[in-house]
Amino acid sequence: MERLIKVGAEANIFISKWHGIEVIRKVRRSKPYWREELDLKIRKIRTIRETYYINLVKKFGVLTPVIYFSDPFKGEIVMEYIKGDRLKDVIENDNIREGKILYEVGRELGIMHSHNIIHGDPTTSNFIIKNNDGMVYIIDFGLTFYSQRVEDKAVDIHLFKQVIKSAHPKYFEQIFEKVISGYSRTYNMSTKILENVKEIERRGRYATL
Amino acid sequence: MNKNNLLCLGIESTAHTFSIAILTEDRILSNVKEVYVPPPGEGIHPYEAAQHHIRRAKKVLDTALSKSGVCMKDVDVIAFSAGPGLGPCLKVGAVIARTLAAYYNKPLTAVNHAIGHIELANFFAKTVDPVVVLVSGGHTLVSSYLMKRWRIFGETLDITLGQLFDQLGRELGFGSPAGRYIEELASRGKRYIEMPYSVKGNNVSFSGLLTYAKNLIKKGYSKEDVCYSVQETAFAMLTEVTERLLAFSEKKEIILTGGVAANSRLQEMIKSLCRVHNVAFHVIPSEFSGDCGAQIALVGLLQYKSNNVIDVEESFVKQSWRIDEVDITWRD
Repeated sequence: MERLIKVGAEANIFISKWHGIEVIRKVRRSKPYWREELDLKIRKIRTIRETYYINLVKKFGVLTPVIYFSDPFKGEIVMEYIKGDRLKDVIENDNIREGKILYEVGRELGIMHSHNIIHGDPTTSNFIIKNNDGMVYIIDFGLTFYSQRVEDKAVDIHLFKQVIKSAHPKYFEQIFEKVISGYSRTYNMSTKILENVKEIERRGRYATL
Repeated sequence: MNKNNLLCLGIESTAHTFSIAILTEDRILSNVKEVYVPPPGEGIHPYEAAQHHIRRAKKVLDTALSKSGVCMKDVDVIAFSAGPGLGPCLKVGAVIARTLAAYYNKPLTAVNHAIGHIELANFFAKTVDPVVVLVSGGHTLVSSYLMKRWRIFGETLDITLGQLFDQLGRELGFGSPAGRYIEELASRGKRYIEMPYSVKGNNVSFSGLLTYAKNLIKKGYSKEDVCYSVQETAFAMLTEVTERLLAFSEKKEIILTGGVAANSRLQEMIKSLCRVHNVAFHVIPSEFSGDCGAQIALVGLLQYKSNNVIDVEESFVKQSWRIDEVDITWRD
């Protein structure tokens, strides 16, 4: 028996069974606004990327779900079900804000960047705090890519910053500072990246920085 | 003061359009505009546009008043577009607004032009808590409301959709705004040419697409096919980030606004998205999608009712002014 738990931006997420264990099945939907050739191509590429990077970043100590099965042609991935809360839903909770979780989020981003892996979509709905041990898992690697460019890493941080600013404005500074402390601890180029983030903001439309 | 039947006169003067509207909270009495059109193949020249606005201002004002059947003494508040926009154009609107306010002794209020696009669309569609897709010459962004601000969730990292079309249009010999010419050519395009698709998280970038398309034109590719492919690619990118905000925010309605909202292909794409997620689709009436006085007058009225007014001496124009810097005094 399968249960649809979330209609995401790209994919439908099901809780499903895989050889007797409870798993997540992620199916990238065909998009009505993409032309057919583009649709097939993008869904395939993103499924391959996701599978590849979820596995790759484990080697560096970043926590991600285990992949059980992947079918790029169907845009489908079967993976470990991480039972927990999305960062988005708990970020305004006092304990989270004060505690180590946000530091850990930054630390994992820093680890990835130090290995030139750009997550591409580090929004607060893509970090899961596991229920039983409070470990921080990262998901959704469909937009992930390899790059040594400072600009690409800065765009990643800029995106995270943008999300907190627009979705959690009340605690924006506190949250961002905690995340950056973790980021800077694991990534020795962080100062340069953060300077570039400011540069991206200055380039923003009608910015008055 | 009877706060239900207030009259607001709004002046729009941020770029190529000079427009004056008079409205009450539930009815637009008049919305008169004059648009500066640069010579074919050229972009907007700020000083030329400002000169145009100065020359047309009196006629626009007189027509707005006579069409609405009110006179200056009936007006309760005067609103003007204080930014963002082209300095010389903004100054024309501001000077006229200050003069009217001082001479007739009316309160004055300074409006953010983009907030005008958003709230005018909400006014027509009666939306409650929408995902906003604002697409125009000045803006390309997706936004939703939270804690006194319209928050920017994603936006263009370089040029806007309007600029993409205007600059491509210039290459093809059209004057700005060129959106409708591009749409017309695109409707006759048959072949899809693959183009750079650039979505970075919640943001989009169109500059690579523009360069690519201009090069194809120079190489002699069919204009129709290029325009068609540019539209397909650019709109798909924007629709993807809209879908991302929709999934993230879990909101139940989308509103499309700004000059490019009039494009029927874009409407179709956003509509298809709404069907998948089972949310309501709204679009600003095409008559009001481009820059107009009504967007300024409406926000002016809302600001006035929430005591958000400014002294003539302290009134300002800002060429740069992001929507997430504006306190929305009339919403919770």
